[in-house]
Amino acid sequence: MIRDPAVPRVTGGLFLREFARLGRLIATNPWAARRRVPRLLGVLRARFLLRNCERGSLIVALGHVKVHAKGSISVGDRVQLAGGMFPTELDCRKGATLTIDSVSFLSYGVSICATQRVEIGKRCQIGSMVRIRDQNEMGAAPVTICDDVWLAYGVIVEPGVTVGVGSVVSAGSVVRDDVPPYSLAVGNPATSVPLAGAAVRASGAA
Amino acid sequence: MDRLPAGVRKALRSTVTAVRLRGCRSVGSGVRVYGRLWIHGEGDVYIGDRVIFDGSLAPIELFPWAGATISIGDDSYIGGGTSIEATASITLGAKTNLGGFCRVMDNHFHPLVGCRHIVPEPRAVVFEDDIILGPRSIVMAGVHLANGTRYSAGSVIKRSSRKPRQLR
Repeated sequence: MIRDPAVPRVTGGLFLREFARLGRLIATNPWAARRRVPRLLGVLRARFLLRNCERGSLIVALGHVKVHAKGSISVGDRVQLAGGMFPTELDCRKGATLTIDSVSFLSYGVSICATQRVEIGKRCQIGSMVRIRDQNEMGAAPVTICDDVWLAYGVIVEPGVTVGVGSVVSAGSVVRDDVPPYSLAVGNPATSVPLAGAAVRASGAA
Repeated sequence: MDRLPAGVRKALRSTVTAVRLRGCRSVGSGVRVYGRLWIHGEGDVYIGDRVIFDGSLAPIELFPWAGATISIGDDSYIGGGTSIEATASITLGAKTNLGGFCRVMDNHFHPLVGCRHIVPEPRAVVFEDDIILGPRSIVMAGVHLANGTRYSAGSVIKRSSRKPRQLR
């Protein structure tokens, strides 16, 4: 599940080769190399931050990420954790599972809290200041975000919600009910309308 | 700092403010910055007179992309946690009041359908004068707000207001 067969495996050797390439670039053209340095540092940073988690290859953490891995966190290949104004938080309580599948992108200030199970699919775009949690005052229920979902700025996902494949949740929405596949969810509480022509595969990564 | 003579204090404060606003193309007089203000990106930022950036609660972000402009009018107030990201142009008029944790953007960054990695065409955001947005408001691309428009907390603003109005 964490390994995506569509994504070529990047092994330790290849990772070292990246470093060697950067070294050559610094030697030949330091000005061009400076743009690549933060990314490689981000890879190292993600390795350190997610050291207690199951993780794929080439995960990049470009900013401040708080990881509380009391339960089991698994992060897939080439997941990006962007940096910005606020820290991103991955909070997985004891006995819970938090899964972020490959090639997903998390912007800054995202807060994901799992007390049972939170799953995020492949190629998801999670915008800034999004909050996902599977427990509130009313109780707890697992949350599933399917593949190719785009959660825009400041979305709040409540417990027990499933956001279907290829759906888009508009900025500032509060999702309380399930969102069907290929639909646009807007408002508080969010209501869904079908996205015309969205059944085409949403991501260019495919 | 409180023990310093008033003149020295004033000079120190203006020096610190000038250093913090070094990323701007032009800065008016009497601009005040509290807490953290983060200006990055390769575009231009223009700031009017007597603007207050209150980043003491949470940082403020001004992020013009390359070739983009953000301009903030006179006597504006920008609350903490506010993020203004321009891919083309965002113009805030005089006496704009943005509460905390607002987000102003002139692009949606991904298309609704199709390849998500293509950034769509930007649509400029224009605020006329005397606009008040409550905390946690989100302003979407292409919005033009008329003089004296007010929105309360948590509003998501995706349509323009042609005449002054006050909304929930």
